[in-house]
Amino acid sequence: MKKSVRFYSGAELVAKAAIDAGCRFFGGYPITPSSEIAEYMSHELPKVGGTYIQMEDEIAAMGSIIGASLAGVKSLTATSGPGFSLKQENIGYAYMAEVPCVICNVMRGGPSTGLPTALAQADIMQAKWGTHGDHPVIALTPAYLEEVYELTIKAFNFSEIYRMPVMLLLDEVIAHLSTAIDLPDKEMLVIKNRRKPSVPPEKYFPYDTAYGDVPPMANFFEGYRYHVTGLSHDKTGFPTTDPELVQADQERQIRKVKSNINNIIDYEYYQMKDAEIIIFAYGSTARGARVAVDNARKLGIKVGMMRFRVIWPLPEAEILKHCSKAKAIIIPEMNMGQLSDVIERYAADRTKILRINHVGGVPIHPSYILNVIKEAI
Amino acid sequence: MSNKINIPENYERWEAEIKIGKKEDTVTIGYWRDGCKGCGICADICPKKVWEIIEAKDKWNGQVVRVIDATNCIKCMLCEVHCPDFCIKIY
Amino acid sequence: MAFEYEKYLRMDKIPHLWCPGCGIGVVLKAMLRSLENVGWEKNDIAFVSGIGCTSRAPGYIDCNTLHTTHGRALTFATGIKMAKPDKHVVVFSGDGDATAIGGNHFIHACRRNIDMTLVVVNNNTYGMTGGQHSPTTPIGYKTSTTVYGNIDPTFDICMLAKAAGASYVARATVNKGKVLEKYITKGLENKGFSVIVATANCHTQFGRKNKMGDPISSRKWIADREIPLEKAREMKADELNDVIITGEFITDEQERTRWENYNHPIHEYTDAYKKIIEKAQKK
Repeated sequence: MKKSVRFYSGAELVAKAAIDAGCRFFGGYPITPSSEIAEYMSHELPKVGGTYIQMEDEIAAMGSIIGASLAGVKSLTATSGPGFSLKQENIGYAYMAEVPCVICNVMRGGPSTGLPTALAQADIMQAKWGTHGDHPVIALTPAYLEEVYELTIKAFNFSEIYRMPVMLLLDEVIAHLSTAIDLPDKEMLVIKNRRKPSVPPEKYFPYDTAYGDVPPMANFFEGYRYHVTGLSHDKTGFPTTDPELVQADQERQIRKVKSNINNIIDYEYYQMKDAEIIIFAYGSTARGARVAVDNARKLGIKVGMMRFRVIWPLPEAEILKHCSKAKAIIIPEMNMGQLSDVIERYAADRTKILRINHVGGVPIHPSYILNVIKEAI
Repeated sequence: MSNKINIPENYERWEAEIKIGKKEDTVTIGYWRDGCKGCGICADICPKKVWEIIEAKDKWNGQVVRVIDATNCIKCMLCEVHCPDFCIKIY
Repeated sequence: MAFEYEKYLRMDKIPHLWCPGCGIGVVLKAMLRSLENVGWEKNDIAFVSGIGCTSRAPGYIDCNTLHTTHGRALTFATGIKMAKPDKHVVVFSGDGDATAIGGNHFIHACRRNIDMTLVVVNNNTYGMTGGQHSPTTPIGYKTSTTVYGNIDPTFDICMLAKAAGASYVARATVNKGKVLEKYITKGLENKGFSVIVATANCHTQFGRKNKMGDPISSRKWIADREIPLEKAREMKADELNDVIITGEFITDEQERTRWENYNHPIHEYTDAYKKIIEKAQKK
């Protein structure tokens, strides 16, 4: 098997994986620390006949990728905290209209302009509840550069399979780090594409539940002349205010992820076999936590780590299991406890939760986590 | 577009022999009363007073239109072009 | 000879939701006749709109139709056009949609001169939300949020489009449906960004608060204020108060090579991007 090994940055890997996943449209707007993704896309997309466009603002960038995806072209945008906030209106549209697309958010400190050049994991909750209304959510949090490539491909696959926007949450460290990477063979990649209708245009409905919770999607200009709206709609795509239809549509959309949760959840166990103290971590924070686990093990402390490669949806059953068995759970995060709040609800009073919340823009040092592990004993 | 007169069955219909200048012609006016919202633009815009507004209790603003004299029509198409509700067809 | 609108309409959605006498219906009809004039395949056309009364128009058209978020129609449209440059993209927008919440997208779509057509139905108010003042409500007029008279100066959407770089710009009123059709047809045919402003009556909201609460008087208000562009060019600014200037503001390259358009080369955006692809692939 032929493999290519060279130095890549996280940002470059997002761009490379996107193109390998079939992405041929990028609509962006410059913002630190995600701009490198736009730059790579602007260099690479025209080479494969794809389109890079720098829009007039973040809102426009999000609108453009929804438009391109409706026209049948896999699309990506990249942004960071403030831009992610601006995109939320149209992200909500993509949920409502069920348009596949990938939004890469290189998280930085907030609120507002916050810490543009520093590390944070500030948008865990914004990725879940950023737009108004209820919707399913899939968000991926790579911690290593190899994973950036793999999970970017996965993000595109999820968006195509479930016909919805998917969040790829990087942080500043992951985006800017460079490492020699052994990329997988392109022929070995599994690339999923949206399910197309099998019926003729006159029998096609864009939100037809007869084919399951994820209706087949016709692209524009392929002869299926249908209507798309952000208003609550019936299966024909036209607005409706019928309470039963609206209720059923919302429930179906939530179900798209909920009933497929076992195909989506993705986590990694490290030193978990006999662990009494468990660290829940994600993104770059997990790198420091892993070192802390190694160091604690050297001291004979039975500690392990559960690392979420997909942060939304969470593996609820596994989390519940650990919450009822573990002596303590430690959650290091580069925010004020966005995941911890959720885990506390799972844990109830069954175990103690120790939070490590750093928002100063510098990575959480392994020694700091080790100290908390010692506290937990 | 075909030259065939294509007025759906649910349209009211008036036919007349007309004169446009010196040229003799015929006109068929189709009017979709069910779709009409009674705005009265056709009656206002017609230079030849072909249309008149009449009372209609079944409409929410209490009016619709009808053709009073189709023979006055000069096929200027003003009513057809400016009816916002796709209710007028002139052949 | 009657025009067979049925060919382009989703007849099960007719009658439409607009008020009796609403100008948007007249604009929609002019658009459908223009489609026939240019002879495009229905499958090859995408209609995009934002939010508001006007933005409901695409739902009635039997093409690929997209009803998006408030003010953002041009961004979705740009994505569609860049993804499929050989297809046709037409945008319907209201005055608030296009020049208030969507003002940024509006000027940038003009700047790119991307091959799309934008029809702005200007009824001087936010109709759907209850008749608040918009960027085109004339000074002194009353709306539900300017009961003491509007003090916000207005945008001239055509001047704005022209300054921003659109390559075809025209305005007609709903009193002249045939002129509207002519301008829209020229807009669709233009290879570049076209803006057609249709001055329309909203007697229900704007009219009612300004002593013209029925379609006839509202349309008369428009007719009384209409001044052809050629005439307006000979007039002084202080003579042009509370008027509607109609005509073609930009029609050809000659107009676009005047000194005012310095640093703005005439190229169409999707064509320019095709050349980028060629360049990137040669390297």
